[in-house]
Amino acid sequence: MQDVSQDIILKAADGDLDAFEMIFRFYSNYVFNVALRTAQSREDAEEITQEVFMTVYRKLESFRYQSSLKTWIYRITVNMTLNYLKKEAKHKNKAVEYDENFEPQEVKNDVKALTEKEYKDCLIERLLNYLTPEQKICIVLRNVEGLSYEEIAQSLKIDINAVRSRLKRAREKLLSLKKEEITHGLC
Amino acid sequence: MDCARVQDYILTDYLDGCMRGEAKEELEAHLLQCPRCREFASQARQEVIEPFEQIEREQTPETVWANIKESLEEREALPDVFHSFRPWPDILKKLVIPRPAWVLASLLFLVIMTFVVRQHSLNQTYVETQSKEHVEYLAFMIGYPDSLNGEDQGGYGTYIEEIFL
Repeated sequence: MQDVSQDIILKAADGDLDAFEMIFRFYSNYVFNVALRTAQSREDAEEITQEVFMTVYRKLESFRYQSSLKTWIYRITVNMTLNYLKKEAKHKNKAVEYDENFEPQEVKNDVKALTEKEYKDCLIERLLNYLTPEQKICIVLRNVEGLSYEEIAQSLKIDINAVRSRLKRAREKLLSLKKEEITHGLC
Repeated sequence: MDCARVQDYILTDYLDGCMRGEAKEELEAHLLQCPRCREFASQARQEVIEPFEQIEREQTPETVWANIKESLEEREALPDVFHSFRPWPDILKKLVIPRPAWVLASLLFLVIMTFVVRQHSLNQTYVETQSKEHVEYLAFMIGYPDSLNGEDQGGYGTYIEEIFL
């Protein structure tokens, strides 16, 4: 995905709402999908997306082109999502949720109503719920958004080998799960 | 390449399609002769890569932009003073609605500091008075009447110092 032009960025930083809307249209699907796969609900994903773009608008004036706008927006998205995940875990007092003995808390019994798409979404949500926030965000950025290791490293401000290590641990964890354990309650 | 190293690569660069050249050839040669690693690669692809490939990316609901636009228009409607320096509303918010814990902590700090400074000043006065009285007494005992006229003789005078030091 190419970046939006500098001219549009400057106009948006100057308060031009039409220019800002172009930036929003360009990146909103990325932000929304990352939020959707990591947050607990659609409403939360919408709220995170809104917060990300309000922050982008507020800070656009101070954007210094040290990185591309894309990387900058990715970083804001990742930070907000991680904050959300940590706040959520703390709020619900689910510190044990990410340890070795974690069992997913929700089992949907209304299995008859699930369409194929809902089944897949539910499966993905379950898989991701077994991971720590940092592992979860790495998997979403790589497997859902298709970011390269380098882009993930820039978004998370970590070393590229740390990205490899997080992906490896996350996938080891997912591989260690029994199939019945994941699909229990799903049709 | 041993099996452990091969499996590390499978879970990262190999399944993500990031392996190139010699390393990839070496890994694939290992897979050809090692059924266990071949099975591991197949299982990993099936369980941790393929489920995510089937995800359909979703469009951002229009309500999100509508909400953002509304908030931004409200913001733009603020008086000019707020636009020249954008962080102003946040700063004002913090000043207008101070957090009770901070207010309480600040007040407590002020009270303690006032008490400490006052106590220190009282002690200082007491020590000075006490010292002066002792010197006066000693001067009186040794019959040196002018020893306390510090202003005239430049301090407590050399006579006392000569005796005690």
